[in-house]
Amino acid sequence: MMKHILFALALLVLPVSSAFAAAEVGKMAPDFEVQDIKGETVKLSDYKGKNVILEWTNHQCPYVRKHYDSKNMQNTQAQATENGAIWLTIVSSAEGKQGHVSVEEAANIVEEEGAHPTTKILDPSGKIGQLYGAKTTPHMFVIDAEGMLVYAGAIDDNPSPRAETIEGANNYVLSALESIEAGNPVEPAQTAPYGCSVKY
Amino acid sequence: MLVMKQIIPFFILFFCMLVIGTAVQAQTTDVTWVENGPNVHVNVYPSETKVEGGETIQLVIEQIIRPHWHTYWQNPGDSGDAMRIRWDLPDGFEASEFQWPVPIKLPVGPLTNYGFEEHVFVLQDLNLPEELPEGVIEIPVSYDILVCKEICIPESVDTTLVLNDGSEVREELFKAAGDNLPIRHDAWSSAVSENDENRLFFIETHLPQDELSEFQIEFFPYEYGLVQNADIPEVKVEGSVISLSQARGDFDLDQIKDASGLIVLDDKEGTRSGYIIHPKMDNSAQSSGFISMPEDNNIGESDTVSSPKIEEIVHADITIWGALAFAFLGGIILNLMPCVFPVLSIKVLSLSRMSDHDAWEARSHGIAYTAGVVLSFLAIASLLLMLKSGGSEIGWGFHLQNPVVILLLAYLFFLIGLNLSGYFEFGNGLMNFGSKLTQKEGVKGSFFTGILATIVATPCTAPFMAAALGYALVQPAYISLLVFTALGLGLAFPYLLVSFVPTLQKAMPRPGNWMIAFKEFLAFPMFITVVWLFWVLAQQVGSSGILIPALGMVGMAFGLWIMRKWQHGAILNFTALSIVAVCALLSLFSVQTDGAEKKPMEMPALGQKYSPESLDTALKTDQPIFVEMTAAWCVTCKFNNNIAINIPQTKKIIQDEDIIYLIGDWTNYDAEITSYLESFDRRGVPIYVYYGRPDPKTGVRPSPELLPPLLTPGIVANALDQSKKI
Repeated sequence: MMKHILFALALLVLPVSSAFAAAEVGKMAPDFEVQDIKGETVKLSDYKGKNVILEWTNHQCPYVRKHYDSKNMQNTQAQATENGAIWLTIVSSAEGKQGHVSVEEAANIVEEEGAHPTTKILDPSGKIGQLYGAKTTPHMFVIDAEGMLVYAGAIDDNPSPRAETIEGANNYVLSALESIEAGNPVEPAQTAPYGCSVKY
Repeated sequence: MLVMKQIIPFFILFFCMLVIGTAVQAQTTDVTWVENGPNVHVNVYPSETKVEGGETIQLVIEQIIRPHWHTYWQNPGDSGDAMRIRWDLPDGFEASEFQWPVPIKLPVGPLTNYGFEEHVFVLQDLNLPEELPEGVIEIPVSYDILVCKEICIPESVDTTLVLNDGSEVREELFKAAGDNLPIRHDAWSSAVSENDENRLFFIETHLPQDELSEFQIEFFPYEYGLVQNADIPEVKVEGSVISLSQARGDFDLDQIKDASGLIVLDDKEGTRSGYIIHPKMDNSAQSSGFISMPEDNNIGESDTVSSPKIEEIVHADITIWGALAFAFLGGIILNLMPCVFPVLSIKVLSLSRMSDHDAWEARSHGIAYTAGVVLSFLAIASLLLMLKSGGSEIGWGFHLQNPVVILLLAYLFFLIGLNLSGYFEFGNGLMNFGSKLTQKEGVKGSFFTGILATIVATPCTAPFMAAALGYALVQPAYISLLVFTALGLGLAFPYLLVSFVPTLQKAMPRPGNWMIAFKEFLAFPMFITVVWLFWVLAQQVGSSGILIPALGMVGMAFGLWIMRKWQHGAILNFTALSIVAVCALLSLFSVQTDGAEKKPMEMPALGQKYSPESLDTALKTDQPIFVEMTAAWCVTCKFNNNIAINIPQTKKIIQDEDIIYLIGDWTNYDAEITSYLESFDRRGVPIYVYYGRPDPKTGVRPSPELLPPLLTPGIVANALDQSKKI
């Protein structure tokens, strides 16, 4: 009897909690439509047939700096996009919070860092971030050509903030793309993301 | 017996109050915070400043965090990073993992982190090599700590661990660290289950703490992805059972190796107690380790909404200190037992007469009494150890397996009871326990009272202390002896305390006529004990077997009556004593010879008698098996049976699931049961073991699960419920 009551109680909580992170690994990635920093409309479902990588960023976060100052993120972007993947860099910092940028600033940062995203998206309302349950910067999501979310988690397996740990770390995004290429299931499909919190 | 039953929860509560302690509040520190300067200061101190090779010492790592900033726990939650250590330990040094204090939740928008504010103490063990260099040892160490407010800054603090420099040990920091550590205790169970579709996660856990409803209760998982960290759990408390549900996290359950974590009770006044739980995830039976719901399941109509698993908890983590503390407390509690309380209370009251005299007199009585108690306990322990090393299969409670001992104890209690009630008083002091206790007596007398207290305590130690002393007996000899010493010290403690503190003696009620009435009243607990011992005896020798012992008791009373009537006639006195002695001896003899035809235990309809053969036969079937080892003199066993096993709910499960229920009776000595107990590292009853169904593919049974020594209906149901699956 107790269990039944509990279960009913738990059901009541469910709608509240599911508002955050509708995205689930192994299921279709939730679609979104948004204007990028160039003013063009980006619709996720338009990229069907291509692999899509979502990267949450905040240029002032030390963990993001770890991967940009070491060029690790740029190299990953280059490798992915050269193989035909779409790379969307997303900033979900709310207005007044760390990492919040204007369209111009965002473009400048891409320029200065020599980054290679397909495009960059500003999400100050946090809608897309919460749709995907983005928790950290960086937080990486890989969507396959069918639109299925196949990877969510960290960029690599060394959650230290120290750049010298990048060498020798396993880059989960690249290995996910390789697995898709080879027709193998992505393993691991989920890892704990690490970094600063997304400044919603 | 009612009194005894109430002692159990009291015991647990008392133990709990001791271990929980109080959490340390953020302390004021004299750190000044420079703008743009570091946001965290770190110091490391050893638990011993003079160390020798081969030792294991503890290190406390103190983080002092800038106000409103925070650092992270081992699982930082949705973002963040736990402290990391970088050092080149010299050869032979070995450091353990960090032991983290109880964290707090740090909400950040829709996210939640787990971490710390203000002042944090993390512990770490350090093994030293056999050969240590001379003089001061300095080991440079760096701590990488992510410290955040709105924004995050990874900081690195370089400091030095210094050993053998002659400085003072920072005891207060170790105390603070210890107070904030989560508590590990073995008798708790927890279970976890999930509904696939709805992505929910439940934990049911039993904590030995009352009034849980006063607390705010939170769950902190060790692993990322198990629960949504920001989801506020729904908590339901029923007695000591906490049921907590929280939205499931990002990870699929087959990715999560371990659902362990902390249940944290916050009294809303700043005191937070963390309890470590290890809900078991059995990956052998199913890939997910969780039992999934049938697809057509209707909530509220099915009995199989969730099927939590029970955790096996053994005493692997009891430290020597824990065992000693436990034994000491147990000793103190023994004073309240119906067998000891009368002797003790009269003894203590006698001190009130001494308060006018020399304080030293009272103290020497206290010391003599303590010596009597401790030496008797050591004697018993040594005897046990000798028998054990001689190859005897004995466990604690072994003395109660012998009907002669039971009967001797029954007669002893009977005589004390008669004496207390004023039925007889020996002029010559031959067996004069009670009357002289109330009078002033020699220090030697106190020593013997100590021995008497130990003897009268023995029937109570077996039922209540079986688990603890059972633990002591499987340890090396010196630990066993230490545990018994602690038990003795605990038993002697109240009297010793009163004898040393004159204020307490003065606080005693003045002697007067009421004391006589009180003394007479105290005879009744003694008689209750006699009844209980006779009941045990009846289990051992059968109902006809107790006829002669009971008549013997009447004969003893008759002899005493003669003595009382004609006290001054030497011949009559001798006759009377002879009657007492002959009655006693005859009865003892009858018990011993009758002991051969022991009465079989009454088996409940569903149960079968345990034997190694019956277990073997059962193991060859594909039915689940539940084994219960019990004894007539084991009050804990009876208590468990009445509230958790011999109840309709449990019986129904046993019947419905076709569980083979085996009962072993250890009331009398039984080498086969003793060796079964030993296979689980126990030397006492009760013990409850559940063997799950064999895997249909491999035919292999999962390893047997040991249930905690104190049962609740929920624990049993959870354990047996597993049989519904597979």
